[in-house]
Amino acid sequence: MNKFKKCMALVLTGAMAFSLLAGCGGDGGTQVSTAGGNGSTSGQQINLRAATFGNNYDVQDMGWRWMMAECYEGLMRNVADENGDKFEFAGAESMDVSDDGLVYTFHLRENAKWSDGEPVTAHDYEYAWKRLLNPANAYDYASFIFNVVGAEEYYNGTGSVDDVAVKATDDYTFEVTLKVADPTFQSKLVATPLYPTREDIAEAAGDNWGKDWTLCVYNGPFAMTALVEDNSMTWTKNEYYWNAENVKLEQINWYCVPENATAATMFDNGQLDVLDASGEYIAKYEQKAENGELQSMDVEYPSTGMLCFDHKNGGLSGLMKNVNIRKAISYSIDREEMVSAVYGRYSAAYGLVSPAITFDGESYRSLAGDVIKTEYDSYAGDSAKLKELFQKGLDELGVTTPMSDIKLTLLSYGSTTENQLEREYIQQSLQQNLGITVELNTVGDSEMFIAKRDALDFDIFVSSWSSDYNDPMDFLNILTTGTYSSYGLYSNTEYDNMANSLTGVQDSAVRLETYKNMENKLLVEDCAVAPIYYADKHFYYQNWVQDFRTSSFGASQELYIAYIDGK
Amino acid sequence: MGKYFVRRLIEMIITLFLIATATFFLLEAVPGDPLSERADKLAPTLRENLYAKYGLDKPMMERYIITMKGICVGDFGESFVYAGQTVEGLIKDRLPVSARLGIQQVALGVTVGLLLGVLAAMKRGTIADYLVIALSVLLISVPHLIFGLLLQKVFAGNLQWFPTIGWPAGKDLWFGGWQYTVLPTLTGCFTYIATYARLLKTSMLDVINQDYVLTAESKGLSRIQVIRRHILRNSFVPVITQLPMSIAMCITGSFFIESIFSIPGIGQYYVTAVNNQDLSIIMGETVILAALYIVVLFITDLLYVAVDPRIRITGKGR
Amino acid sequence: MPELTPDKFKIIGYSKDEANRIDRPTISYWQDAWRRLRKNPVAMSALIVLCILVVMVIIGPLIKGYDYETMNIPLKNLSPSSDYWFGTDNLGRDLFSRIWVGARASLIIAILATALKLIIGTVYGALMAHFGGWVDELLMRIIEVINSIPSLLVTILIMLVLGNNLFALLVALSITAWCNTARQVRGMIKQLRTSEYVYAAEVLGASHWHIISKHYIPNMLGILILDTATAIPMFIFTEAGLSFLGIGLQAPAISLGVLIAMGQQNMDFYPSQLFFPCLILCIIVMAFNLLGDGLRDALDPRLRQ
Repeated sequence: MNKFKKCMALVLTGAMAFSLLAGCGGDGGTQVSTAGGNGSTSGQQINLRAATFGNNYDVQDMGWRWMMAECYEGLMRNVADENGDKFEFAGAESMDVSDDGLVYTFHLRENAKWSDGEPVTAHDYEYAWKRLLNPANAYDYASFIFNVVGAEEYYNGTGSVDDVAVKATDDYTFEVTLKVADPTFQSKLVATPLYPTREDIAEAAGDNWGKDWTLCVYNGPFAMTALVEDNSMTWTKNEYYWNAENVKLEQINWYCVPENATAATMFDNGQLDVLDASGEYIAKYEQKAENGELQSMDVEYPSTGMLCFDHKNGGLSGLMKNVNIRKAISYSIDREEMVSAVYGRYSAAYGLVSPAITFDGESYRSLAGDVIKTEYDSYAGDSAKLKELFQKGLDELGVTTPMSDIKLTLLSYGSTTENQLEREYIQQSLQQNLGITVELNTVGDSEMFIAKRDALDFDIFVSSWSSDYNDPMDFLNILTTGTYSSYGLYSNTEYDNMANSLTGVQDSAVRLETYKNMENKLLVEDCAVAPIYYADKHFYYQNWVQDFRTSSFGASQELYIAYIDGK
Repeated sequence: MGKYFVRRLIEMIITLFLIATATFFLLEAVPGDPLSERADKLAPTLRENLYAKYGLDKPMMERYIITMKGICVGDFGESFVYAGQTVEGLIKDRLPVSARLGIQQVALGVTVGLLLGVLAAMKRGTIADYLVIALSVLLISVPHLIFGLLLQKVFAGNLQWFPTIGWPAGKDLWFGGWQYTVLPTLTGCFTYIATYARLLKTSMLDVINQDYVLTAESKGLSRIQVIRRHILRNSFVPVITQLPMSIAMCITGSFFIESIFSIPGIGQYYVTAVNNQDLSIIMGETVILAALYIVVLFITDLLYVAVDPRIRITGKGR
Repeated sequence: MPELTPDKFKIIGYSKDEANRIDRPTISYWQDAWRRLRKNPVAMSALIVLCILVVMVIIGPLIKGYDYETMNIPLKNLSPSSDYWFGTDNLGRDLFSRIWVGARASLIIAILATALKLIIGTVYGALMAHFGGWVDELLMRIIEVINSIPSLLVTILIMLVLGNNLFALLVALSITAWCNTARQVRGMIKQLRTSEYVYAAEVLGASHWHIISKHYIPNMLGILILDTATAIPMFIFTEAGLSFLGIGLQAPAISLGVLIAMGQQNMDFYPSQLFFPCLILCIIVMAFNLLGDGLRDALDPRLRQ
């Protein structure tokens, strides 16, 4: 009996181990998910890091811009050189715009091909744009082309797909008709939702379209050739790309490295060629770059961080309705100190529109200036004056509570050190400068944050806006009435009227003037939000990486002209 | 015996049903939904279409029934957050990776742990004993994230003995590519070293005071023989019964170890899914892990019967 | 073996009085346990270290007189010095003061969670053992369900539902932990109920209260004390682990876990911000472990001399 029991014990343990193995069953393929294992003989390969992969190959979904901008290509490409970002024709060779600014005719490149050798035609564009508008697909970016005749009606179910004025007049001519002239339309053309899609491939893939990369064809400089989720990904040069002779890199290896410390270790060892650094690492690599051990590139990124206030109810305290109180809060924050202590990068923001946004080829910020800087400077660091301003607001509201008894709630989420420092810095700044109490309401994740925010369970919260296309309007539009519920529900008729007055206006001088007035109204008169920082990115790359580029609206790491030399 | 199996099987199914229900309503109780972040910057019509596409516009009870029906046929649905990711894909692609990592950790951890346990028990009250305790406490006090990063920095960064990140795939999935597995295995094994060293030490101390050990010693058996034939054998009962649970738990992966070494396992994915309130993935993983746990619990019960002569299976439960 | 011969023995005398004399004073189980614990130098030093730690978490933040909350950016990331014994953190706050405030929070959380675990576990276990039958079956099934759901999921979801505060953290930590206590208590009571000495006491007409106070409670206290000694460090760990996932106490409240998580992000540049909180965590956990080991030896009746 005893022996039998022992055997049984062994058998059971074995059976369990076996069932575990059998249940898992590897597919025995030949994927390689190990760093540096992929052999390309030419040495023209580059190793890059991403904190997460996007797992989305449907260009209309814009789920994964930095991948799509390299593996796919639209009518235009956003490229960057020493002089900043600019648009170049890519899928299109030229473009005609009618005099009234309503009809856009794109003449497509006849040598553009998909990675299976088929030509990229105007029908691919027509299919893609109509796909984007199909309400059944529920694409987030459908509203990007609502200005096209018939588009919004089709999306809302009141019109037919045949009435959408996007048309392939022949294989290589693509024509779009707008409802009203829109100078920002052209800057949207680099966005991936407007990239072409192959009807035969997409329809064949059905529900799996955009979800399984092996079903995709690519028309960009590179094509995805291997992927292990959460681990590594390989792009190989697309031989069918129309400009393939000028693409020098043979292979791009991406590694999914969530931890910054790990990425730094790999970069130090030369296992990574480019690093998008943050925090203390910037100082370290900046030093190395000065010594010539590395190359560096700092670029502005079209994103602005800001404090938002409850304009609807005035917040839990009811005080946020008052402009002087909002200003006192805004000016209590030392932006220069905050960007260096909390973020370790970025630059102090005194306007809403990011300096990465260009207008007529110049940075919008250099044209519009720092709108709140003067007023900010008159209060900065002067606790007595800030308290006076806050008190003035209280008096205007008829609130008699002494300032020391006032309690505001700051809603935030996020667990990184940066998130924690950010909220503590704001809390401490307001408490130390105004003598009020700031309670932190920190929730677990973004879904809960949104739920609490929509329930107006706050006085102040931290938010940011990242622009989708290169025009100041994309920033200013976030605070027009009814556009978003996510910036404190600011609503001002005068502001809305200024925004609406631009519909169809093509004169850039008028536009610029209106933009300036809008920003002034928003920040100086109303202090609707308190801008804190303009985002930027700090890239460091090995000396053997040549012609590395970054762009704000395309792939953040542009590699189609990069090459390796001297490794 | 047959009756007993049927009974346990029915119990398991009921438990799984309760777990799925509990998970669903727990997730429902959390404010927000998996799409809210995405829908946040959308106009109302766009938002409605998005919710309709994922079926989240339906009332809660209807979704509950849909979810439960899906579970019955083994279809947990597709991730709300990552297009095309399914629970089936997860089990096929990610579970083996976490399983190998976990099994290696357990194998190394248990071996070293048992050796240290014997050492601590035999040298009870000496420096060696306290060193073992101190070491195991020290090593489990340092969070995996920090320990892993330190190991990575020293052995992959400075010394370059091992690769920094990566994990064997394809034909090397189970055997091969060992150099990639060294650091992650080391990082995770200390939990098991500490657990098993203490478990065996406690159990050995119990056995050492038993009468039959005294008898064996007074029979004049050598110390080694007493340890090998009487003490070790009998003190292994708790170890053997603990082992299945360790194996079941280890294959569920470790968030931090997978994240540090870019290992495409399920631990990382699970935490991400929970943070995204990605119902279908959470539901699938929970039900599968719970099923695994319950099966292992059952095997453990059988193991008890197998190794402990005092317990018998009867038709009437425990 | 030396041979035994009669001349090796001698008669030393014997009287009836001596036969009934008790040489040693009678001491209770608890007196004996305490005596044996005192004789264990390692356990005693662990106890002393714990006492010092308790004193430190109370007065520690006051020693240097720095506020643990107020930031002072010009003094950020300082190395340890005579002014700032453990250096300062990335908002220029004294790490020494912060560590003791954090350790205080960690200890309070661990102790409260352990108390919760013990109370719920004991009551639940006693109910199971008392009623038996289908009640026992049902309650056992509930335990099985709770145990089968990955504890990380339960913890995260509870924290999400209840928000990031102390109460939520306590619920999240103890919601799965009590199951083990309940099982142990159930087993213990079942075993006691059928044991000969309880039966004997019942036959001799002892009251319920007498049986509970003299037999049940002392027998159970042993496992409960051990449970406490192992649960406290476990809770400290779990709380620290949750901090890494951004779950748990939120600023301005801090715990050792929060400090370690913050220190980790700067470990390449300011290792002291990571080292000191880790060190204190290690000391606390080790002290509880060693004390627990000592307690186990002291409370084990089989090791009684």
